[in-house]
Order: sequence, then C-alpha cells, then structure tokens
Amino acid sequence: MTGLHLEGHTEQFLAALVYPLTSTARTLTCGGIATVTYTLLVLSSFPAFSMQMLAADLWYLDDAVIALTANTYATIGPVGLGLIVSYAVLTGVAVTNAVSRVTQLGRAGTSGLSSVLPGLLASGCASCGAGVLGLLGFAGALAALPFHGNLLRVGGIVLLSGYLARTGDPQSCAVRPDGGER
Amino acid sequence: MGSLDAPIDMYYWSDYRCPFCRRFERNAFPKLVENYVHAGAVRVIFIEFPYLSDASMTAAVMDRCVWRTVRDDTPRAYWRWHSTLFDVQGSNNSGWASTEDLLDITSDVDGVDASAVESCTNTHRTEIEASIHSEMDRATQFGIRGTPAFILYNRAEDVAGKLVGAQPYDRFDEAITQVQNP
Repeated sequence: MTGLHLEGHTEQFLAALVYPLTSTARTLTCGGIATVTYTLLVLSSFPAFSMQMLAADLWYLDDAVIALTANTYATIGPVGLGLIVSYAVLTGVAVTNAVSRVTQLGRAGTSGLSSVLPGLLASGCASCGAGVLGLLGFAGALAALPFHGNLLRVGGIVLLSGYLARTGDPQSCAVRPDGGER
Repeated sequence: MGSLDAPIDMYYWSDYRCPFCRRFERNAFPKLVENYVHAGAVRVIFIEFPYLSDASMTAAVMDRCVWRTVRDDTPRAYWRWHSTLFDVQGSNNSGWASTEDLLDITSDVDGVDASAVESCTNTHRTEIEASIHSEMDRATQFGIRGTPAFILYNRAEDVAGKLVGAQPYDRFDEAITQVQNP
C-alpha cells in the first residue's frame, strides 16, 4: 500500500468517525446502537446466566450487565474490556453511517448497507465468539483462546475499521487518484 | 456445609480462579448460609469444576487435601480456607494460584496444617486429579458448562432446579422456594 493510499484511508476513517457527531440525532443513534451492541456483547460472555436472568425478569438487565462487566474486567482486564467498548462504538458509527447512506441515496445506497452487514456479522462473531462457544458447550473457551479472546476482538475491530476506512463520510463521494469514484 | 437432614441439597460447582464465583461468594452466598443453611433448610455440597487453567486444578487438588487433613478434627477450618482463597483471588496473570502461593495462603488459615496439605498434594495429586476429572465429566452430563453453577434438589419430592452464574440472592430465594413447594 502506498503512502498516498494509506493517507487517503486514514482520512476516510477519521471522516467516518466524525460523521455521527454532525447532528444530535446521529449522535444519539450512534450512542444507542453502541450501547445495545455493548450490552449484547457483554451478555454473550455468559449466555446461560444472561438468559436465566432475563427470562426471570427483564428488570434484571442492569444487574446482568453490571455483573458481567465486572466479570469481563476481572477475566480479560482493562485491555479486553476496552476492546469490547471500542468494538461497540465502531459498530454504532458503522450502522449510523450505513443508515445515512441508504437514507440519502435510496436504493442506490443499499450497496453500503449490504457491504456493512457481512463485516458486522464477521466482526461481531469475532468479538463475542467466546460466549457463543460457551453456549455451544465448549466450557472454558474464553480462557483457552489466545490472549483470552483479545486477538479475536482485535480482528473484529480491524474488520470494522477497514469498512469505515473504505466508506468514509457517507455524505461525500470521494474521487480516487486514478479518476474513479468510490 | 449444613445439616445432613436438610431437605434441600444445593450442589455448587466452582473454580477458585473464577471471578464470577468470587462475586457469588461475596454477595449471595453469605445470605444463603444465614437464611437457609443455618436454619437447616439447605445443605451445600461444594464440587470442584477447575476448567479455567492448570492453576485451577492445582487449587482444586489442594482443596481436597485441605478437606482430608481437617475433616476429622476441625471441619470448619475447611470453609475458612475456602473463603480465604476467594478473598485473596488475584488476577489472571498474577500467578497467585501457584502451589507455592497457595501453600503460603494455607499457612495463614487458622486450623489448617500447611505441611500436611503439602504432603498430601505431593503424594495424592494424580489420584485426586483423576477423581476431579471424573466429577467434571459427570457435571458436563448435567449441562454444567461454566461456573458458578448450582442444582437445587428436593430429595423427598425428587424435584430439581438449576441456576447458573452469580445471580442475586433474590433469584436463589425464589428458586429454593420453588423447589421446596413444587
């Protein structure tokens, strides 16, 4: 990758990150999606516990999130918890930008949505995969994974970052150095 | 723990390196002991499920040795040792559950002879590990995939219920009531 390309991708990535802050509605949407994503990721770290608590009463949601946040911190440390928060925020940005693209471009913008979905699914699985493994019966999966699953989480974040660096600000159509449009 | 005549058995699977188990030991467990075990309604059967790492197994083997050395004369010392281990539980990479550290911790627990425990672990480790592995296999057949996990069993009515994770005391209270009055 040339320096020009790298600089271009970095600019695109930063533009994508800033876009949700350009209006109150977008900021709230991004924050809401990030919160929901974080909640789902944390709950998926111990699916059987989460399901029992929520099946008993939905009001246990805060108890479950707080307990599993503390457990996640104790298990994978501040770096692991930071990666989960980063993934949730990037998901909020990616979904907000994809929705804006579709809203502005109509059917033509659905290519943006269709391109974000596989990335989200792949990176989501990478990020919460340990919990899903536990659900499937692989007890101790989190502990057995390299760096307690942090490598998987980094993989998810890289995928999402790559998507954002490729799409950039959904309101703009960047022109490639070779004259094409992206 | 508790009266042998208590009508409800609470089978409790745990790992000394599991932070979620520590949360249970600090929050719901003391209330359960006070309200149900001391009242003669529930007896607790603690079962090792050392699935997180090799150090988990080291702690589990030492647990068995502590019990062997105190059961005849000072059985209460076993629970002091058990609680102390959760009190001093360190983070994943701190190495707190090495044999040397565990013996240091043991020497500070009133009523437990650390040298007898060391001798037991040196002599019987292989045999105890085999026994623990076989109990883990049985637990897996009951659907136990992580810790802490609990099965509440009303022997007279042949009714059982399962709880997973460090759920709040109220959830245990509800579950015990359900098993008591099927």
